[in-house]
Amino acid sequence: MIYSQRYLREQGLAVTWDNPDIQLYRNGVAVSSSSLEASTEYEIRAQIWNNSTDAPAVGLDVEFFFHDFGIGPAPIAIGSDVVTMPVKGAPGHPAFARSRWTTPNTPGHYCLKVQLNWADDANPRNNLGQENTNVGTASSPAVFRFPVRNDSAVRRLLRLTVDAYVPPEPIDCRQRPGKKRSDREHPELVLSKAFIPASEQAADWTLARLRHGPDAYPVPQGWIVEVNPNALELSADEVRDVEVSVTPPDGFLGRQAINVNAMHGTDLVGGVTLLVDAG
Amino acid sequence: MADCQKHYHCVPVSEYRPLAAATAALGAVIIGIITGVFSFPPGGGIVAGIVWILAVFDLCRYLHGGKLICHALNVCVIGRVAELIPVGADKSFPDTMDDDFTFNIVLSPHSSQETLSDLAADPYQGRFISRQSGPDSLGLGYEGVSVKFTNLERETEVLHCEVKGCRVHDVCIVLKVMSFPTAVAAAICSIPVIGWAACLIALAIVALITLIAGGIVWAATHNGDLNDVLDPNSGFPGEANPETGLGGDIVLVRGDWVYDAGHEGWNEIHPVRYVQRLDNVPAEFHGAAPATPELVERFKHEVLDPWCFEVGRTDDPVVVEAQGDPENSWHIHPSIDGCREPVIVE
Repeated sequence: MIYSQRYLREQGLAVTWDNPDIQLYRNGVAVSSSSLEASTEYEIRAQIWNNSTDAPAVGLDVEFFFHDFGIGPAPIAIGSDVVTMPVKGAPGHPAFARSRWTTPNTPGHYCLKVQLNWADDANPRNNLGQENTNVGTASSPAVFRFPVRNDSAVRRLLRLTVDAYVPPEPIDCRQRPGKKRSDREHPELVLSKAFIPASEQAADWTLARLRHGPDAYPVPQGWIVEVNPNALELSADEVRDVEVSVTPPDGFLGRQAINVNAMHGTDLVGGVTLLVDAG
Repeated sequence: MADCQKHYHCVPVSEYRPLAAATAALGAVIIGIITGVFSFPPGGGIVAGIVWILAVFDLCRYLHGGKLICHALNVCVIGRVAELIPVGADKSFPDTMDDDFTFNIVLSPHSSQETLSDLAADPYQGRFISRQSGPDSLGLGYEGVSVKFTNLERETEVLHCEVKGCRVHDVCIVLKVMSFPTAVAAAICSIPVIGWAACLIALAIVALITLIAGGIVWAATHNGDLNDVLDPNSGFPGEANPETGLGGDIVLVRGDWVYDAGHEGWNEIHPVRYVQRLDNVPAEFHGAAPATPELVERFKHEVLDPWCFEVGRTDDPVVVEAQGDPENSWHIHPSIDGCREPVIVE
């Protein structure tokens, strides 16, 4: 498995497009995917996890793709790797897949996708990870423009939502309440309609929704985020530009993440994490 | 999912003892009858009862693994499924007490057309279907197991694999418990004059209770099921074409490699402890044509060694301990439901 935005969103969790499992390197030094140099070779490293304590995966096929910046453009193949995925807890776990990538001639931002292909996976829905970030400096405001494409064969209404989710620090192991207690204390977060694969039914999804739910990460007070337009009706393959302006509160210093998610109904179509630097 | 496999263990060749239960049981019956009819020898019924208990315990020892001579524990074999044999499909009563799910595999990367000597010449997996010195030293015969694919001239040598059911174990518990009242009933035969009639009635009552209890356990037991040992993520494996011997999924099988003296004499994996269907094995290893030594060599390096190494690590105490660590207690993703161990400042 890999940090997979669509799957996590299906389960009622907020997601970041600054994927914790996908990292770019240039000459061995970690770099951000938000601003890449043209015609330059990078190494993409994908961290892959095995949720099974019994079944390894020898010869796991890992494919790398990129998109021009935006939400939903068609993927372009970068390369592939084959890795051995040991069982959880074994030396060599998590495994790392690598691919060399020379960026196109045009400088700027590209969205990366990593796809794991394994026929007898317990949960094939968490095998696609995406890395899609962009950094902007807030010179009142920070303005981001990117295209949104409808990659479906039918006309769709896409709604753009924003949140400020960043994965929180892991909880202290001793403070985990236990699945039954979580369900009892937060019945509103127990989603009976969510399909949970057998391999993840032991997970405390209620606690996960409490700690990672979108409602817990609204745009912080004092910040103004304007998405224009915030809904697009696009025919098949149609692309339209979207502008997002982010204004920090006076006196803000540091970096703030704003996630823009493109939703079709309750389905997550794509998204981008905008990192706003101020001060 | 029942773990019936845990009840069955093979024995080293030095500890192998043939089944003596039938002889002992016959002896117990004869002694019991003589004692009952002639009221002689004194205490003959008690002897018959003790011999009966020994016979039952010997039978259960044998069925729980005493008939299995260990070649090696927890081996890893990779083969193509030749046939799947559902519980009871090849047996009639009373052999149906053995409720194992069994299947036969053709050792990979070999074809169904290869002879036993071809397969035995495989330096990496050929031993699994070859005669071994341990049973030979005891004078036990070796016939092997083969499958007949209708379009092929000769039978195909396969490795037999048994996924245990719990019936033998469960019925044995009843038999063992009931052997004690049976022995008491037999002891009654030693009472002069009325002994034979009294012990006959007592034995009939005990036999009836044993039959009822045994029947309930027989019906309610957990039968052998491939899903008990199958990697839950794997799909159920398919078997080869019964006419051509082609096809059949490639599976990795882990379990004890034994000689089963309860049959005509062959090696098998018994009990099977783990099965994983391998979906990404390249087509060249699927046994469409006889395997060359080069192909066998490549199979070892590309499939056998890496898979068996990785699956074998699940037994490594270091790995088992690490799997219990809090840092590996996540189920969704380490970034979502992972936890950190507290920093202890002394």
